[in-house]
Amino acid sequence: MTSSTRASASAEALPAPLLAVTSLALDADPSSPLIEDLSFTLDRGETLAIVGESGCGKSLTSLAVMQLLPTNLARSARGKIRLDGEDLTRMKPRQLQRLRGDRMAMIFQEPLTALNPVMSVGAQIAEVLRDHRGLSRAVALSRAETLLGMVGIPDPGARLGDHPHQLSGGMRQRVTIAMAMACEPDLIIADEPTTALDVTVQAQILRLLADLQARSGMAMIMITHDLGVVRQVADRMVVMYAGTMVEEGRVADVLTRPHHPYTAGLIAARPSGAFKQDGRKLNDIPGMVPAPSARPAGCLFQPRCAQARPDCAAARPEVAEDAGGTAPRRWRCFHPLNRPEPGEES
Amino acid sequence: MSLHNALEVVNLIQHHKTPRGMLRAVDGISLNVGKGETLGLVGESGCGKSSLARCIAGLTTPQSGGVVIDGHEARDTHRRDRLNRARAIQMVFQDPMSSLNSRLTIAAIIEQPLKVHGIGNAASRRARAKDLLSAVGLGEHHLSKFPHELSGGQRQRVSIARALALEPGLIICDEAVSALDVSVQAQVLNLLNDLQARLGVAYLFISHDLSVVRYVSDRIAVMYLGRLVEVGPAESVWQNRLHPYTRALIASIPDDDDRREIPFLSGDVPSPIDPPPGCAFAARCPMAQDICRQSRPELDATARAHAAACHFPGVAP
Repeated sequence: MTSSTRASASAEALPAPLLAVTSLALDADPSSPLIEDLSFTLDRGETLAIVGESGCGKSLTSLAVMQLLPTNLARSARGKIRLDGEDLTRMKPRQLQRLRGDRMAMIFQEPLTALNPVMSVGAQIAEVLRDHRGLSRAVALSRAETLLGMVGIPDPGARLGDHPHQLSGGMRQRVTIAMAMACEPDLIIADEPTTALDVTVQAQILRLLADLQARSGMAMIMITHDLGVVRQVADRMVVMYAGTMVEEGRVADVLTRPHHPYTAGLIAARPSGAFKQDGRKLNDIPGMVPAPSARPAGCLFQPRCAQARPDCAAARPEVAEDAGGTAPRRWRCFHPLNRPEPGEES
Repeated sequence: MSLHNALEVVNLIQHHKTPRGMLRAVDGISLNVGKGETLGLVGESGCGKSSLARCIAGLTTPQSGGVVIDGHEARDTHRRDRLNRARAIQMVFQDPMSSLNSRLTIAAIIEQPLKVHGIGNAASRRARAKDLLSAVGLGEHHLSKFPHELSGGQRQRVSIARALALEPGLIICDEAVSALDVSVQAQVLNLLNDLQARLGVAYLFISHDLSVVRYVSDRIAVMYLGRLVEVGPAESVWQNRLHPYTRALIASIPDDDDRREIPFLSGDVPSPIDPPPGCAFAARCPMAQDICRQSRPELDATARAHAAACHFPGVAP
């Protein structure tokens, strides 16, 4: 099929997506771009995973969507971030404050720093409801109790008065999830929500998020470095490298037939499924992610790429797109892997 | 070849008095690591993995129990004993930024163990540092750098080079790759395997990441609340999963290929302060019976075969 086209003016899909990030760019100073030309969309009820190694810009992306960037970075931000058609980058701080915690909410990696240590967890959840919904103290507290029960905290009434240090790590993360869910947001951004947790607790939290999503219909962005988590929770995924999107598509497609050599490298670097006796060497990606101030010419991945050819260093690849069928794919590579016809047009 | 194991741990006990009661960090652990072998030790936070590692390395003194290194019982009475132990066992920690001295150059960091042990002169130590650095895949231009000038993966390579300086029989890797990104983690895991094949060093590889442990280990030991609950050859532990805790751990790996349908484990790891009598896992175990709450199942961890501390090993719930 000839569905493969250079995506420059991709037509809007029929129903407007819940979230549309278009050509987002950020830099600390003009010589060190942190995020370059990042675009993605998210539909209602959908889970999008943003995957990448440290320093790839995935957490900055989530802060940009929440409009929580530090001021120096916020000033450098270009591009559009539309939630339900409204451009968040043009909103006033007061409007944003009304939106955050109400229509979009965030869950962080480390609940102990995300929670207020000198406030009871009940009061912290109630505060969200009092600010956004104008509930009275008593009503907000009883609603907080319901929320704690909903996120699987046993005996929620007795836990309302507890302070964060009295709870275990898994229980604390449940509290931050209860806070995020308090106003039934359309969008939840979870930034490495289980990275600090033990594996049995991680399994509980991932299942809880999936349950809540199924019941409330909220959309979720899951920021993670763990491809196992991606495969378990997400519908679609964006792979980021050095501040750019290198690949996007449905999770099953990307993980089974990656187009970008970096994605393929990440998948093969996982030790899963092998024993020492198998003698399988892990596929390591040589070198390391370039610093923002020392990004190479041409393709950003080219110095570490085993498939690199001369043209890779000459120009930065644009995003290519295969809009075919129900599962569109996008990638940023001159020589994509697993393509029926290698993109050799020159 | 040799008669002795690289490491034998015999009934090691490390309890701490706390205001709330006795914290049983290491509660009677016996295990062994053969020469050139990797024993993977898994368990959730607070189960006592790091306390055990510190007791074995001699960084803390256990209340009772013995540590036998290459046939010799480790003692800490004299400085010479401690030096001997350091030559036999070295450690690589999780965070190289805090385990490397930020004011020393890479050369000084790697040479320090040689200096402490009075090995060679300045020139020979520098030459050795260069060799060690190249053994871990770093060029000699790094010798004059400081830790903050290196990436996380490079810093962990320096930690490994330092650990190798005294040619120990055993290196304890305590979450040594947990802070690294997956592509860099793969580099370090490959390096550890290469070094083992070349130098015959044994590893006690401690990690909470089961897929990593599965990949590096000849044998796997599973720890829960200060005790070993299962130990055996890696493939056998993975495929047969005698202890219900092992089954729950493996089933919790997100989207593991070997996932089998079993109930999720509810609750958190209970406090190691004054644990209940009987099996420590009984409170979370989906198949606990009366006997589990009354008598504590024992494990013969020195046996080479696959064993579990469970009254109903291998019984599906």
